[in-house]
Amino acid sequence: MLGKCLKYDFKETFKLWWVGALVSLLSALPLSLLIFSIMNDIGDQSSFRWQVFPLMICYIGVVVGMMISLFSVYVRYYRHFFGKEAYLTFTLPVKRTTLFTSKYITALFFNIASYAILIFGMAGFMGYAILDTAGSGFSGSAERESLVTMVIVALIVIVVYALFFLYTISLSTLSYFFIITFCGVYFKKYSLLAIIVAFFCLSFFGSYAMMLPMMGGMLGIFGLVGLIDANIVSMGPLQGFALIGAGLLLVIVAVTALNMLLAFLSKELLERKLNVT
Amino acid sequence: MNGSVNECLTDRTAENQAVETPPADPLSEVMIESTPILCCKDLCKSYKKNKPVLKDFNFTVEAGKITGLLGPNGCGKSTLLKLVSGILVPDGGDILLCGQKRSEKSNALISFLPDSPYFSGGQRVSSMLSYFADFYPDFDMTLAKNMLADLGIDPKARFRTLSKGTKEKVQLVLVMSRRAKLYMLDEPLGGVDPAARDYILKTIIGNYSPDSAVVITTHLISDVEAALDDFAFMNYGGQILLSGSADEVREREGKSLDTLFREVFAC
Repeated sequence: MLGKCLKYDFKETFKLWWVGALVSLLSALPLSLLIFSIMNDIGDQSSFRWQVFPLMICYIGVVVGMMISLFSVYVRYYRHFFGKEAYLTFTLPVKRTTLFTSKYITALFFNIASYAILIFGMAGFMGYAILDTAGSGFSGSAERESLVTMVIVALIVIVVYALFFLYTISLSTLSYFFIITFCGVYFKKYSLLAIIVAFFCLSFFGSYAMMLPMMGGMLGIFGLVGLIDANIVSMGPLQGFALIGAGLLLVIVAVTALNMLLAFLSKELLERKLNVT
Repeated sequence: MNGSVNECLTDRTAENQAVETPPADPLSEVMIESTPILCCKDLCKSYKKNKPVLKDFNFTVEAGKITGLLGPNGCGKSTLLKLVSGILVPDGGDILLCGQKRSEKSNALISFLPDSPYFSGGQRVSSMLSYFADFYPDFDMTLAKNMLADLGIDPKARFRTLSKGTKEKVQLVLVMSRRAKLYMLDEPLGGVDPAARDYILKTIIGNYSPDSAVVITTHLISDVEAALDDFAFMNYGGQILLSGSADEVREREGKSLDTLFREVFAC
């Protein structure tokens, strides 16, 4: 049954998602070109003036497009579980856990796809920025660092960032699912208003909360480097990597536990408390 | 176990053949026959504290019967159907379907028609048919297409372009095209024209099977009266004031159910 649920969830979510994705892509392409152009013409006031207005338009287009594409999964979740479609959803011979899992997989896919579209649209600018950083930031140090070390470090950074990105998407998806479920179950006819308020609060405070593990990790590394420099702690590169690895593992365990808790609470609310009226 | 969910899900033909075959154990045959399709025991439900819609409600529906659940507005008829179909969670009591406690699996046994449309406007009628065919193994696509053709509904039409009555007809076609054990129809004739009402009633009667049951709630008693085998007059709080065989009551009282309803619930 999960396959059938996924089929219809993908189909229905896509109907709204593609509009946001298209707006996002069509805005990101000129935006990256404009940023590239501005960076090349720094100091040229006359060209800067005519570039700012279209840049703002494109930026707003990217934000609006991303919001539509990201929120399309939550619109589907709300409509299917708390809208008029709920009469059909909960009379299907499908377990509520399966319905929820299908929504979660769909949300992860479309959220990642939304970011992928944005990255694709901004590829021109990002490529330029990376090359520019590589050209200036590593000049002189390339003699000290071997190419192999650089590649390894880059790969570790990419893997850690991808993992962090995936966990952030998963956590935000489950947080929003939980909010919709909680408001749908307890606020009934005011659920939509409650969801909007809660979404705003989560977007505002949640973005800071999600930065905490990363900031904590960075502070820990800086603190440790300080301790090593002051000869208070002595540590080899291998021990350093092990410590960073342990820290990352701790974050992964904590975030996984939080993901599981949110999924469990949403499922329990759907199974035991939901009254479609 | 007698009357289990799996037994209820077995093909009708196979069941009919089983009925024709002499039973090995006469006692087990009696038990199968006596297991009601739906049994509500001490069912309680309230939306607000100290204002129960259903209180210790008991109700049984036997196989092979079309039962009319009749009562004034707000007496809990729709609430009962929603509880049985799993849309609402009961505060207390038990719901047994084919002898088994209600669960998500039981949804395969029930074909429920709510009193409001549940499809999104952008969907086509044909995609709704595919949706039902995908999720309900007992859905008869040919029957559904024939019924749509009889009612003059274009399968390619989008839901938003249909009138209120046509939307209801489409949902009724979907619900009645299943080979379910229990059909629960909440106000099936509400927004439908009189000509279509006759067709819908014919469909409901035509769907008669000795191993399935139909529960109808409606205010249009005179329209459905001819189709009903049993009836139950339901009052506020889920009290059953009067119930039994429709024919027997008509003979005994010398009145139609519609007249009797007006007398019992006179304001």
